Amino acid sequence: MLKIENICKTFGKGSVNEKRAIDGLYLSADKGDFITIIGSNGAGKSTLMNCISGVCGVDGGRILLDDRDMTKLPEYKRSRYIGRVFQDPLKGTAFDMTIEENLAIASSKNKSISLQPGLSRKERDFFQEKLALLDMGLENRMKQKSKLLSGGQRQALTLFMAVIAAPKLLLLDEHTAALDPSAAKKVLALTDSFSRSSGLCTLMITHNMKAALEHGNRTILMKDGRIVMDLAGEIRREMTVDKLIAQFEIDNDRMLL
Amino acid sequence: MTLDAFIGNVQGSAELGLIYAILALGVFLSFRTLNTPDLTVDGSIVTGMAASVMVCSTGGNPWLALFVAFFAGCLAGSVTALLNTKLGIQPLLAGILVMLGSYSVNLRIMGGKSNVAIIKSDTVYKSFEKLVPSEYSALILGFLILALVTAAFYYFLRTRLGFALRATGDNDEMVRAAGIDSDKMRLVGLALSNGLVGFAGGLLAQFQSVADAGMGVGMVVIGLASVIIGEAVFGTKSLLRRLIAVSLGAILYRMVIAFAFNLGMPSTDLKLVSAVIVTIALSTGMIRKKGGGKNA
Repeated sequence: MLKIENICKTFGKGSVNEKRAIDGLYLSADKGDFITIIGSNGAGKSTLMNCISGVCGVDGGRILLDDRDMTKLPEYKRSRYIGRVFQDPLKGTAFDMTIEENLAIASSKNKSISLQPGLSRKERDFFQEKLALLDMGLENRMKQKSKLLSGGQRQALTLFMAVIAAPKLLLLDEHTAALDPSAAKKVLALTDSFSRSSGLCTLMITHNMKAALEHGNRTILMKDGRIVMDLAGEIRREMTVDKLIAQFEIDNDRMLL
Repeated sequence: MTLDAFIGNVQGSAELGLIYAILALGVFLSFRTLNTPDLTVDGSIVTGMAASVMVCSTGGNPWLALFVAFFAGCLAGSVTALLNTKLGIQPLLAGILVMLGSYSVNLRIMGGKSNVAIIKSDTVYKSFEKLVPSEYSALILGFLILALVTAAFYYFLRTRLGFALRATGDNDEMVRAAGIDSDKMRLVGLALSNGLVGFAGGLLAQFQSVADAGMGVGMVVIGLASVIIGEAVFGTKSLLRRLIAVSLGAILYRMVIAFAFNLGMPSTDLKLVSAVIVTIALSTGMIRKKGGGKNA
């Protein structure tokens, strides 16, 4: 399903600030996989996501999604197969548009965009029904602008927008890092339930090692632009945060939170 | 001032205001919807004027002239958008470049003359006056055209394409994540914005029966003033209300200027007064923002 073959990405090539962010990375993931990604700052986690989503190009290697070579596709074209939630809750929605208008944009991802009505009554009913499942009261606020929402509500809405058009891949870049603990818990629970939708493969970056082991079915650790640990199945079930730290000499305090 | 003169003044300002309202809607599309101040306007309004008078003076249909003016404006806006998205030139600078370049293009359209009068040619105002003989015919026609443009514009902003355009101004990262080409949206938006401006220019030229290459100076400021004054005075509660507010703002602006002339302001001070009005309007918006966090 997702196949990443030997990709490399260097920032500031030839300058004193040259930084090899991704260094010959391989990764393959299957339908239904929910992979959590950990690693200290500068390990290349976000760059990996940006390479997959097309925010930045790669210097070498290939990225395949369902055997389709995406390496050279522009960001917006890849987005048809990829749902994304950013760390900053402000980035996920158009703030001066209503909740239902935001949803309409997200749900017309695979449809042609021209002079059709932006939002039909049928779509509105559908959104309302689905929003109720988020259990945040958003279904009664569909005509409010998204700038009025709290961070947690916004991330829940963005998450819902990311999966509404049935993508093949869901990319979550520390999407709960800016939230308070209770909102983060709620958004993580929603993430779990959305990741179970059929055929979806989820990649989630987190700084929280405990969450990384508790959610999903696979955990990878990145260091210096490579994957240095890939846990799944029995070994992952028996893994604890303490063991991880001992085994991989993790020295970043932020990852222990 | 006699009462008759006063009424005549108000009527004249309203007639002009109805035309400037279309310019204001165009500026609204770039400045508010796309969140990009677009200086192309100073050039594209004259492009619209020039296209309009050339069609009229060669005996063409004045309605066709307005369509050509719209299209010419679209072209000017497209160039700005392409300079910005394809060549990576900052939007403000791209607008200035097109504004500058279009001056020569406008002169070429007008056959090398810096102004072209169409006193003898047919215009939409003249043909409408034959249809509805009244001293208010220019007012009625201006209102009908503005109503039609506003309705079409409102409908457009509520289509899927309109949604995508509005979202691009809000947050283009989100738009790309939603599978929409944000560069294309900027192209469509700036083209339509300047299309409206060109249309307003075409109408203005027919109203005044003249096009002048120098008439574009400060038009973007007039558009901005109309948008800001309209929103401040008439509200932004819903999208439709906002569009109507912008139109009313343009009419109000003309009235204020006419009133200032009557009070004895020399017409040579007009540009300075316009600049000061917009400065005040923009800065009050900034002061309000400091109190209340992120606002549209």
